[in-house]
Amino acid sequence: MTMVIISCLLIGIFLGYFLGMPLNGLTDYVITFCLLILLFSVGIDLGSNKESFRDIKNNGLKLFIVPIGTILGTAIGCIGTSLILKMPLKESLAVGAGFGWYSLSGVLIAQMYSVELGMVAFLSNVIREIIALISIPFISKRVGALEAIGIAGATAMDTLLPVIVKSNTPDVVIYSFVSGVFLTLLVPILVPVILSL
Amino acid sequence: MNILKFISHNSMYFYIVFMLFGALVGYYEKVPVSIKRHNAKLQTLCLVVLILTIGFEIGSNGEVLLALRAIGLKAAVISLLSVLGTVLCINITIGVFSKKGMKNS
Repeated sequence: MTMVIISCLLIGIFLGYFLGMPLNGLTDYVITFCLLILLFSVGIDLGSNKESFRDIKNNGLKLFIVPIGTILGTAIGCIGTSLILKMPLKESLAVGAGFGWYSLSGVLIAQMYSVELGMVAFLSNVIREIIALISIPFISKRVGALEAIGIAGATAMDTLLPVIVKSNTPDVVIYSFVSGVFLTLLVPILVPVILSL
Repeated sequence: MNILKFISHNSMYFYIVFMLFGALVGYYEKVPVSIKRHNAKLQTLCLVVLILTIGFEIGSNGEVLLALRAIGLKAAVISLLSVLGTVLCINITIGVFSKKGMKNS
């Protein structure tokens, strides 16, 4: 899937570069329309997974250590970035708030803020997923399962779930899933809110 | 066209509402069978169109292509520091909780 997305991006860039005609406003409508359908569809997936709602009831607040820690830790990382690179805090926070969901955060930011920052968000969240893919087995063994789940961010519920399960005992699935669902729900809320600050 | 314009200018509210509406429909199992069966395909299709469109915008925007190196640096630093911060935060939280008798599975 990642390969499909990256090839689509490259094809799009290629077409835009060589055709290069301004499609005043049209791309904006296409993006809005597709995002609405996509988010509705992702919402259906989230809602249909009743097990995760039941797990939240049974396990209580313990499950929220991972997503809350991920949000705080990511925010700290973004504050650090804006200090080091002298980047506006709002921009780095918006990029970080993609929590690894690169397709959505890149598109959202490109549409609402600037194409340039959208590109940063896309790349940054792809890199987050790659770091997660490489480091989860190691972090699970040396540091802990919950820390490893946090690295995966929003993708802990789908793309990276198999990696997390393989590197840990099966009982961490609940943590991974709930954290992924919670962060996935937050991305389309947090990114626009941060950008409108 | 005016409705379209209104929606795309206030898109953030519509995104949130659509997602929550989808979650409600999914939770109460009111999803039409035709959508449910093709949900994954629908997501892939939207994603492909979205990414192509964004790619087009990037490609036709000369400034972005010129700034590619700066963009890459920002992206790398944000993701690296975010991952570090996340590991530290969760680690510290677990440490605090485990003093109260919670186990890190």
